[in-house]
Amino acid sequence: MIVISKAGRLGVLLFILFSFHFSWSAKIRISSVSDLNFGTGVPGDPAKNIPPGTTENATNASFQIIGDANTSFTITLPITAAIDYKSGNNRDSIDISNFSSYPQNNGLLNGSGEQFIYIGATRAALKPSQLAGSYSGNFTVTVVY
Amino acid sequence: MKKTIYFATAVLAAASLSTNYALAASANGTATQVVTAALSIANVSDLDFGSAAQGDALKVVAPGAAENAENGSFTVTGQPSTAYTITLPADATVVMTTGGGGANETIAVNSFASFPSGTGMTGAGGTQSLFVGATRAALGAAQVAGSYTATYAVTVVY
Repeated sequence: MIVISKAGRLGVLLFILFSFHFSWSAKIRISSVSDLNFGTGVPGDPAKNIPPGTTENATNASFQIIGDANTSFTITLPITAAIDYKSGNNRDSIDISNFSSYPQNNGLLNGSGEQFIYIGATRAALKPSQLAGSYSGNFTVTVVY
Repeated sequence: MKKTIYFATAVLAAASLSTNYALAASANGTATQVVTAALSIANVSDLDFGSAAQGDALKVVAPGAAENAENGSFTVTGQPSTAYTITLPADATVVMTTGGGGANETIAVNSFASFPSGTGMTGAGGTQSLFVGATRAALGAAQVAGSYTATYAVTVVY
């Protein structure tokens, strides 16, 4: 009887702590603002790196993070991604790797609960036989408190 | 004592659960690249100043607008319907020679011109013919008789 009562108290304590945690933490949200733009190239071009930069520019990708004010979060980037071209039976792809972000690894939401992060990556060299066309593909960025 | 242990366990359990607790969100970004066909240029015919005698005046070969016996011609191949820039040799960079290219064995070629001029545009099939003319310098009175040749470069870039 005594033991059950202790366990009950433990449960109440856990519930209180959890409630506190839930009420205190707003959901974190991330949305894409601009694309990673490797521009125009010709077959045989060498690999091209887009640095993340520190502000929005014509080539880097950017995302808006919204959540708790003055709270740090972790940024997870893809290891690799691919962009594809398809027209009828003609299809080709280009590897994207070496993703990097600014800030690196961890961000910090400002007093209004917002931060922008900037993403860069490296496009693989274009093969001599690379099909001409517009290549596009998605990559996923995850943020966690 | 038992109470204290239970309480400590509860706090530890709650603390570890709440630190492991995470809120996450993901978004997809898009990466893009446009690949255009590489631009290439191939020589079709030579720039031919023909035959002349010692002391002859300079000779102009016009680029013309179609293949003819004198103009130089090239085929440019690349992305369909795309503009490109043409770069011709600068003056004083192309000199035809005969023999060892010594005294009276050279003839300068200057004032290169092309059709189209400056900028070309590939057709719907991705090709365009490019015609080149130039001016051969006057021949000296002591110009050594013989066949004079030189090579010149035409560069095209998107």
